[in-house]
Amino acid sequence: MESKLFTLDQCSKEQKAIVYDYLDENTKNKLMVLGMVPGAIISIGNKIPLSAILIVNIDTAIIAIREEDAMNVVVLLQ
Amino acid sequence: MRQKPCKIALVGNPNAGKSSLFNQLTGLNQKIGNYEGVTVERLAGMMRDSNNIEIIDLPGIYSIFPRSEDEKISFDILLNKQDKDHPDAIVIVVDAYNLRRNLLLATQLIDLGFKIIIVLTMVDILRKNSSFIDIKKLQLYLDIPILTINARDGEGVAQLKLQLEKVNDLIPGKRTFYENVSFQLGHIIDNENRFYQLLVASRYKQMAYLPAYQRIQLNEVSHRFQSQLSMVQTEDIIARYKTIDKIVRETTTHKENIARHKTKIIDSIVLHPVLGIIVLISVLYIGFQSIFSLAAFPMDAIETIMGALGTWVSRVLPATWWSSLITDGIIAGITGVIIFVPQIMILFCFITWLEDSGYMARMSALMDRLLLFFGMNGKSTIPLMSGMACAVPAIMSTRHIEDKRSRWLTIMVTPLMSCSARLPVYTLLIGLFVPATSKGVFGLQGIWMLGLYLLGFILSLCISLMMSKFIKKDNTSVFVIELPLYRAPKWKNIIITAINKAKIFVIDAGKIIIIISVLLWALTTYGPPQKMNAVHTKYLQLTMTDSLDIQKHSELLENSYAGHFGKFIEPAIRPLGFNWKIGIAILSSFAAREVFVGTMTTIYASNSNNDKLLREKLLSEKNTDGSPTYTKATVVSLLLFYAIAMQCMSTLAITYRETASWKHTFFQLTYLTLLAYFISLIAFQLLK
Repeated sequence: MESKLFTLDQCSKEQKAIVYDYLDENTKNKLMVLGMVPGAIISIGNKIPLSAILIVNIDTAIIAIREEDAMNVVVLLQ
Repeated sequence: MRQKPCKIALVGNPNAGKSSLFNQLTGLNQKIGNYEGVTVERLAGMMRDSNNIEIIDLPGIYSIFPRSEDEKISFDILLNKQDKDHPDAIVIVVDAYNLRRNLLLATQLIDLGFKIIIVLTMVDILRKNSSFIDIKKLQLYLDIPILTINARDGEGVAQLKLQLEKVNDLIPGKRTFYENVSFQLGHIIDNENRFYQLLVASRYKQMAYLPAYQRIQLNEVSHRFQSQLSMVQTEDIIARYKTIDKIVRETTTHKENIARHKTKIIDSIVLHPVLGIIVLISVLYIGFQSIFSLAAFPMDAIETIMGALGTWVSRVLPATWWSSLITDGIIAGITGVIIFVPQIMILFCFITWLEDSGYMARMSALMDRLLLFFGMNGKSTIPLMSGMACAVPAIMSTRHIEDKRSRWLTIMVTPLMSCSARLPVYTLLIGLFVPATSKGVFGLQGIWMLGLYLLGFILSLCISLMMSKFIKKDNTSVFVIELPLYRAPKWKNIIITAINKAKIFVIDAGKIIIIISVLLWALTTYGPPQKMNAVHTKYLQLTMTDSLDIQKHSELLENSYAGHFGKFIEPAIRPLGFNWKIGIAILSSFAAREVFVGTMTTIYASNSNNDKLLREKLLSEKNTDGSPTYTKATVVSLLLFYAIAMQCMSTLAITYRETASWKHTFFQLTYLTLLAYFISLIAFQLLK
């Protein structure tokens, strides 16, 4: 199965991915404390286009991230 | 000599159940909710049944590296040994359902060498999911005593209290989780703990309490080890999660996730692009409509009882100055306060329900894009929504907003949100020109009320947008918010919150209202003796009828001290459609806007002690040319004035505390007063 690198905002609903890297220090510092460290498995819960918000599931937690910030998260699609 | 109490801090991730545990341990009623950022300041209370243990509830933090003002409070207390609340031991409150993320902070605190007890909360959610944590194994891994509790119903709290009584016997855990570093700072920092040294070296700029010489030395060190220090946070977190993942794998078994499944189903509606907005508007509408409809019966009951009391007192007491003070001053003032208690309780039930259910955090996510356009961000939603209850805690809750620009703008515009103190004013004025009828399921008065709340919200957005043009944008702002699992709100918590808020309203606002009512009674009853005697003499020669009695009362009021003062300020407010009586009410309610109704009751009181009669008196009030005083134009102008003006001393005080600037506080007062004046002016001139 072929794996590719994308930014988090490009993932579609219900898609699973592995956090690979960050393109911005602030996003990195903020999301890593919530468990989104490189290697962590996440899944996209929902997208709210009107609010430009992405719902991400990490372990048992549900996190809402702004799409602009999601652009700074590099993920490896599974 | 009395022994100094042992200080125990409750530390943990946001929404882990710290404040619920604090309430269980102390017997206090600290605010709790189902979203991050409920506690934004340190709170202390003595442990129940103990004289020497003080419990300190700290704002929630995800890690020991602070990002917002509330997180910095926890950071300072934990790291600054000189702080008056620096704990002797800490209780780490760990949400068992989110064990992995909660262990990050726990391991950091263990590394700082505190005496620690870990309590696992939310175990009931784990059980529902048929999941399991091997506590003995976890205890071995962390080398810290672990207890399980249910902070909401108190299960396990007694055992924790026993442990806390023996807290002096605790020894710090021996296990360390930090990656070793190659440099030594023991010669600068008076603490042998390597993780503490590392933290201070990387965060010394945020630690204003460090002595100047130490900050200078740390500055030098930070230049020398710049590359290592800049990586401290990142590497520390990655290394810790590696260890934590192993611990979680070894100690936890997850079978199914029923709790998240339920939340997912609700979110598919609540966070739906279209349905989500419909749900949001419906929830707000139902909330505000119920303030009117559900409160009608108890308000009528209070009105009847107080009316009967006033009549009975005036019949029983002799016709002297002090009986007039009791009936027209004190009873009128008390009625003006307690009649609105049912509405205030319903408002707080509604807001607490939103907070407890987990919906408030979703509102923040839904509103982010909109608020971002206007200069704020999604995290401004909670202060703005809380502002509908009271601006004081709402402005304090802005501490959770990391972006300084958004925070400042939110502080500046939060007073525009219609707070509970405006409810009495709105209720009285809306009742003057909007009939209590319904169109289908929509009550007309409820629609007007919702309209005023919306007006406050729309104005707050517009003002924020204008102000944001003059403030530099913070490009480092990142919006991330945790969405908690939905849970059924606890009715006990909702009712306790509503009763407490009603108590605060009756006692705090009531004190001011009664003092001002008595003062106003004196100012409206007495005046320059020559002028007052002239009125008495004029009517002495006439055979008194009901209409003459009203005319006499009106002339006496006009010649009283209050009347003279009102006439003095009348030219400034006349363009807004306000007469001198309204002028007195506006001035007397400068410190607290809810005083308006009490003032109007006192000014218009003759033999009336209830709101319905006040309304009738206002409607029958005539200008000198015989035209009605309270026309639709005047009432709308007055409603707008109260919807916008900064008539609240407590809000000004809290703005000063949060901005630490008189300039910003004065700016807020000035812009809100001028805005209220000009919008009322335009409304009156257009509608008259």
